[in-house]
Amino acid sequence: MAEVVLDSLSAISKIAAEAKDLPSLWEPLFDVILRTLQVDAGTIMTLEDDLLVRRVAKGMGEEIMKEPPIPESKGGISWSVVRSGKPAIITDIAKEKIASKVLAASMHSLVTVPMITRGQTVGVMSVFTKKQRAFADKDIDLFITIANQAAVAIVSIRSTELLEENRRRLSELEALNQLSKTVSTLFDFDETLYSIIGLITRIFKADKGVLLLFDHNDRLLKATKPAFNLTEAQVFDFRCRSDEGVSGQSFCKGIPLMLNKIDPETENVLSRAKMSDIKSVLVAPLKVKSQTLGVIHILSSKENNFAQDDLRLFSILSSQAAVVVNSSYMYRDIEQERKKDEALLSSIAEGVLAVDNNQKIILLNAAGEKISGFLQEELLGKKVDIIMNNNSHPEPLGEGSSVNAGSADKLPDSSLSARNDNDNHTLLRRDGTIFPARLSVAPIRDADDKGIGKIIVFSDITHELEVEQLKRELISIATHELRTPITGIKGYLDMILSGDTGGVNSETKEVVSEVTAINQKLADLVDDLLNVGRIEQGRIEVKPVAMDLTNSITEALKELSIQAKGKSLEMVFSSPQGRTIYSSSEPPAGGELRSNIMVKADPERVRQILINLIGNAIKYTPAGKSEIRNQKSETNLNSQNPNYAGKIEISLEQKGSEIICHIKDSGIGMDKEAQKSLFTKFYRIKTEKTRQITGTGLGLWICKQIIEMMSGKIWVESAEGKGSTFSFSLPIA
Amino acid sequence: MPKILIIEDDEILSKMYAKKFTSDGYQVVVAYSGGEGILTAKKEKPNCILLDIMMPVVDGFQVIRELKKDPDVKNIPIIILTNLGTSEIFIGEAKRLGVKDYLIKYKTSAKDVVTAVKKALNEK
Repeated sequence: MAEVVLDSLSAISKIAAEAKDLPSLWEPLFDVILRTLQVDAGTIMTLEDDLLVRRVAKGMGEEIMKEPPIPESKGGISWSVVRSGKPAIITDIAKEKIASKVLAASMHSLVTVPMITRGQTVGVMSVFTKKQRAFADKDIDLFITIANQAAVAIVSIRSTELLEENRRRLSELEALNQLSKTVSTLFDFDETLYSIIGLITRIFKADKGVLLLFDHNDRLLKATKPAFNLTEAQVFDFRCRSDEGVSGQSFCKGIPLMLNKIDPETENVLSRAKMSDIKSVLVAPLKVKSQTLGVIHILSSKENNFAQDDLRLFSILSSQAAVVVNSSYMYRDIEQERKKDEALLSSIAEGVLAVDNNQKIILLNAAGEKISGFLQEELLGKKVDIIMNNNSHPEPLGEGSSVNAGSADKLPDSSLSARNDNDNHTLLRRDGTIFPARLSVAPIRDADDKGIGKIIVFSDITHELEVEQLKRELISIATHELRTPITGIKGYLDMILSGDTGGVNSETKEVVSEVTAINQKLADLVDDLLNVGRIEQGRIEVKPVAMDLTNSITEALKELSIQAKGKSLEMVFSSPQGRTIYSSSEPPAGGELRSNIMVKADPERVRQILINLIGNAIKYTPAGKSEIRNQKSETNLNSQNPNYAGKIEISLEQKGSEIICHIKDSGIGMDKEAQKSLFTKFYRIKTEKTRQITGTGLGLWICKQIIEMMSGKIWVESAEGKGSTFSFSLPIA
Repeated sequence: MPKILIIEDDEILSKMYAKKFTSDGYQVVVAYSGGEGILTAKKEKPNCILLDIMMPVVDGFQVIRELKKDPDVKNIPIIILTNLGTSEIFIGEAKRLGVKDYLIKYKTSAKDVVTAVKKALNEK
């Protein structure tokens, strides 16, 4: 007998070790039990929470498996064995309270033993005989041993199952991870979201899956497409307050929740969406960083569809879904932004052309297509030269404007200022014709401020140039025509003043003199305007010849000496060696003080410049002492210094291959801001002190243009109240 | 009393110069176009001619060329009075045609025009 027992035990350990699941354990195990204990039937029930569930049975028909699990409350022999941990031996089943009707009807005696391993009861094992039978103690002991062996095997099988389940979920998670990783490359977010929701729904063996997103406008959680297994109407109607039902709770608290039985509030929410068939719910917040976008639901029409440990996995999967939702939001934003840009680019009237660092075209907007006749498609990837006119520019533009000659290579590099505008360009149309264009070139930079290309905004200025030309011609004609009446007025006034029309009294003479002065100002303005016109149209003639600058200066000083004397201003002109060549206060020393300084310039233009600059020095220098009584408004300027005497000093300096002429006055001076704009057209310093000084604001601009035409430069050094020094350079002849 | 012919299409200026010369004691004849100027010069044989250049149909240079062909009038001193500016093309042409002076209207006072005429008459 001991041999049989030993054989049985070793067989059982082998069976237990090899069993992969309960049936593969039970089949061979029952054979052994049958042989050793001589019984007719056997069964195993395992303890699942507070239920005893029949897992396998043999020798008692199929019906037995259909019996429901036995709750603790129902009691019975098996439960008393679980509770006591001791075997129960029943010789006459009919006399006992036994749970199974099948067994009560077919069996006579039974032995039920607990299945215990490591002090834990995992279930019970029972054997039955059809006829009444008493069991020997050693049989009971053997059965207990078999049952405990089985317990070890069951636990091991269970953990294998658990491991298997974990592995399965892990691989699903991995798949999901993979999915979310590829999201950035996926174009269709709806599709991605749909497959994620579907996947999660299937993992938890549920029926429906849907996202509820929080709408900030009406503060509602609203179902959104794509939804898994929901009708359009259900998606539309599935919405709730942000604190309503299980959805609201999960959203507010930011935690995943499981509902295996629907509460009335949630029931209400579900019934509004015609989803009253839903019996259990998993819901988790969609959190991205600190923000909760909404909640994800997995819905099942089965009660108790979800287990407690589902919650954790669900929570992890939800966070993956949240990432996708967020990405899709961001993508939509970017897409919207892109569409806005596109709309903007196509709506502006200017042509917009973008090139990469290799001067290859990457964009041409609708206006650009219209202006150039090219289509974006045919330019993409082509060199920008296709539209830039390579031999357009006869002469290089001034420094700083390297948007030049229409050549792609000369587009400003990224190191240049952010923007670069220029009018003097020609571009090519598709049909090969050339058109004048205004360009604005700006570098495109990436987030790291690295230049990644250039954007060129251009417009066709053919019409503008025509209008401009017309305007200039009109001004030119108009100003020219003005000369005749001005000359006429001047002639008549001169006649009155010189007594040709009979004697005039001193009052009349004064008034007529004023009119003459006004008329002269008008004449100067017309003169300036004509000069501007000529310069702008390139019609001014500059004929540089070798000329004596000292002579020109002396002549100009003589010409202006009456004006200087009128304001009691002293004018001194000295040579590079500091020798006085001309002084208004002293008669020239005996003999002509010749100090020939030859420059290469146009004598008439030099005279014009000198008259202008020295004239300005006189205009902007307050009158000297002797005039103070007569020039009330200027008294204030000089009151601080009773010995004030206005002085204008002209000096020459040789610097390299240039002669520099300085015209220094003791006038009102100007601040840095004024100095910057001084040489621009129509600029005039407007202060209390300059209010009564007349001028057109054109003189210095004209001077600058003319000097530059003679390869010279003009500049100013000044400080407010400390006088100004205007200097210009001319090349040595 | 020297006789001055003013050929000037602009009425404002011709009237003004006429007034000046009259008040300075000259006898003045006025022509308002190049064509009229040629005829008047041949008819009146003035001592000096003040001539504008920019005139429609027959311009000042044409007037000079026409007058130089006629021995009766070819020696009358001519002074150009124009607003054409100091372009050397015009000044050169004027010199080539033998004019006495080239005055810019808006830069020359009526008084100086009289002076120039006086000088031309004295040189004669």
